[in-house]
Amino acid sequence: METILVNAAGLALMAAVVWWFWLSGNKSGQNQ
Amino acid sequence: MSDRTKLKPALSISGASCQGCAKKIRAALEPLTGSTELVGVDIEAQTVALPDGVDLAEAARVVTEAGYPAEPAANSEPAPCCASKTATSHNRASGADQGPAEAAAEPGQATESAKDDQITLSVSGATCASCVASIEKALLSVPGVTHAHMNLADNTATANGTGEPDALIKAVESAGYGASVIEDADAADDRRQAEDKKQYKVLLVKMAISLGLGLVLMVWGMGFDTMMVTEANQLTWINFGILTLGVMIATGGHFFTGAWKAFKHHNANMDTLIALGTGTAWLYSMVVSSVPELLPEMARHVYFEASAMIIGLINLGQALELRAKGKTSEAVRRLLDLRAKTARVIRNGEEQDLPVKQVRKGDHIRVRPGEKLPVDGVIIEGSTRIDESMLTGEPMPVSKAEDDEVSAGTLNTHGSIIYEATRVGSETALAQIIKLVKKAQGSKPAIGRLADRISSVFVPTVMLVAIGAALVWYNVGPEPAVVHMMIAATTVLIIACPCALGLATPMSVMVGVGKAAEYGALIRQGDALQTAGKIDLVILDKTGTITEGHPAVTRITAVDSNATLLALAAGLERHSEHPLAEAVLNRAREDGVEPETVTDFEALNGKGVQGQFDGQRVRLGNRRWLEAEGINVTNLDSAANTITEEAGTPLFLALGDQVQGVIGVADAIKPDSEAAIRRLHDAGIKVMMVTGDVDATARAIAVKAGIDDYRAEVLPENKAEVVSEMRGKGYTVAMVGDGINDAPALAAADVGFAIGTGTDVAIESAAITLMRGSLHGVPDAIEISRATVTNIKQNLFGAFVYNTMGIPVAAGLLYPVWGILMSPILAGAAMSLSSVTVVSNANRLRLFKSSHTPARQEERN
Repeated sequence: METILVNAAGLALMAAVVWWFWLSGNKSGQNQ
Repeated sequence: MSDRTKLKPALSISGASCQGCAKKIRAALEPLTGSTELVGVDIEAQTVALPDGVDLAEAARVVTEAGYPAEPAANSEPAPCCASKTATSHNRASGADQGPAEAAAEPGQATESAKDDQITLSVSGATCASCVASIEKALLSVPGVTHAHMNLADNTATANGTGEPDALIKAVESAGYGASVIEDADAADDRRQAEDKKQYKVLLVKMAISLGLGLVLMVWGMGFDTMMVTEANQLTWINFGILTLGVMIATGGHFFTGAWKAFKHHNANMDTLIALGTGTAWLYSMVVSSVPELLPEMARHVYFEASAMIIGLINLGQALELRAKGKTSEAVRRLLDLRAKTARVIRNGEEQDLPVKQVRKGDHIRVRPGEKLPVDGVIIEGSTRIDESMLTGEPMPVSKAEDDEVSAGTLNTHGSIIYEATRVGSETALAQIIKLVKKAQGSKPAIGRLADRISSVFVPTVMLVAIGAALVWYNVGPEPAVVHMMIAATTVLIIACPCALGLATPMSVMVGVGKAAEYGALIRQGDALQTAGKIDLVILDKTGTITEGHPAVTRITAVDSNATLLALAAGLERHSEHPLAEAVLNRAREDGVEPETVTDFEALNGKGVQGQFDGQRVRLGNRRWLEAEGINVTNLDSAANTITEEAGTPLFLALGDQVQGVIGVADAIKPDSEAAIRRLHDAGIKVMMVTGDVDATARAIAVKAGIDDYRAEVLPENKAEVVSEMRGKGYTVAMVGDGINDAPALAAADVGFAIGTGTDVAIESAAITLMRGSLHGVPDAIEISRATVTNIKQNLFGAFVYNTMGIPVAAGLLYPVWGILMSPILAGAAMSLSSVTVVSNANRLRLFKSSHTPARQEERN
């Protein structure tokens, strides 16, 4: 259970990084 | 006037930063306009001017496709300000059309238009390549900004376009950095220096506190207690944890606020990595200390000392970096120091010392021996020798007399003079040079832009790697897995900081451009600095580039005495206005020969000149004429042939019906042209000459100067075609010529070198302007370029390869084989060391010496 939780948290964190810095960040980067 | 001067700005563009971009845009528009000559690209204003009748929407499309986003200008019928601005830049491009008065007025206009277009901000808090990307992005988000550029080496950002200063400052501040508009560049420089000094001390204090705490914790944990939390020491570690947090906020709070501000804007920078790395170590240790039962016994290790020491080491790195950074702008400071503070102005017959800012055009200024000239002007009384080495790199003082131009910042070494101010304030050659050098120092060559692009995606990628590494350790690592995953993640975050990457290019460019200026070569763009190193063919214009540009006596062969021959020739030529006459008179003056008195002077077109001396007819002219007059000149055949072979014109002098001698007049090769060409050969560069002269003269010059190949009878307008042809053959071509007549050829080359005379710094068509007339400037600039590019590559290697190699080690890749897992403290130290290495390596460029060092330069070095 703990292993699943830690891995899920890690993957969620990675997804959050991708989303925050690339996907949603692109909105502010459009004017480049 | 050329066709381009009739054009109006029709498109507004972005992203065009150099002559190369202008060329690409012209080439893209050629199918629509029929000729590249009809397209005017104004890099400063980011506009393209087109002739009437061109479909603007189609033009915008092709320019956008060429890589420069373009749209029809808001008002393609230009407003008065734009019209004059565009005309100014076009006049520059087709400088052949302009008179000296227009040329003199131009720098002032250029300054005015630059003020309208560009706002320079002083930025604080930027530490790495990611900060550069964030700041540029923030500036570009301001409405009206077409181009933004941040220079990390001197912490300034420039924004082109119509963005309001307040909006620009707000945008930079909301991205997490401080900003203020630079209105007075001098005051800003002074302020920055004072701030840097203060900041240096602050960083050292912070470093001492955090490193001190880290050491105490380490000694405590290892010497007196244990780094593992037990029931006995739990409270002590909690207290140490709180103390560490206090120190982290006090000495590394700026990393955390910077990271938060960047995060809010979907950016990640060096602060993000430091904050995450040290924050993770602290948080883990705090959990271990507060609720140890949550973790297995083996994992109850604290890392408070790592958090404190990493912040201490990074502060130390930043302090050292700050000090080294100050040295790179030395070249500009040296130029700034050339300016005189006061001027002795003569107004209403009275001499008064005035601050140089109060000097007006037309003022008469007295300068005594040993004093610096405060402004540009023309000598109206007296003669002297002026040391221009600081401006042009020319080692010997230059003789100046009435009507000669003098420049601000040069040193009067000899006599007392009075001169009239013609250019003051920001119009002086020195002010223009300082402006140019600063601008070029802030520009980025292609290699630097690549580094920036990489680093802007680097930080988020590192975060992914850190999380990935942690997961791998958790799933397949040995016990205590939690400790290992925490160490791996923290170490990856710390070691990957791209701070050195952001400094790698700008540091070297700053030193390289400054060094080139010291050698009398003004580099306009970082791109030119990079391309100059790749040159493998140098095309030289002949007149004024290889040669002096005006005829001079090269040989005198007399039947009796040279002095008598010269005195008679000068006596005759004194009455003539022919350019050859001036050469003879100059030689007589140089040799101290007094011209004889010749009467009944007569100039015979196409033959020569004649007069009466001592009751006899004296003739000076070509062989055909003298022989037609029945004078035998065969005894001087060999001397005359030598003169012809050297591309000179033989002038025979006869007294009565006896030939007295022959004088060779030629546009002499500059004394150091041959040596400079040899240096180019030594550097593996082919040298070619283009000239409008006839084949025989061109061949003679080419042989004498050691040139590999030449093209004779090339009209000025066709020189650009020769350049394009050679580029087509695969050469990276440098064209060296006069900035005005050769402008199209200079613009067509990969790198254009304009040979100036020290004051022609406004030569826009050339990427590099040589301030002294010597050709040595070309190999000097190429050597500096090669040294700079090598230096940049070393820096990028040191910064980037180091980071990428460090990451797998930090992630624990060596653990399965050798059992090595890097400590986060070591990562912090190594990261700081990489910044210091990059900055020190860039500073090494300051020691550059060209393979030809004039005596004066050696003294100064």
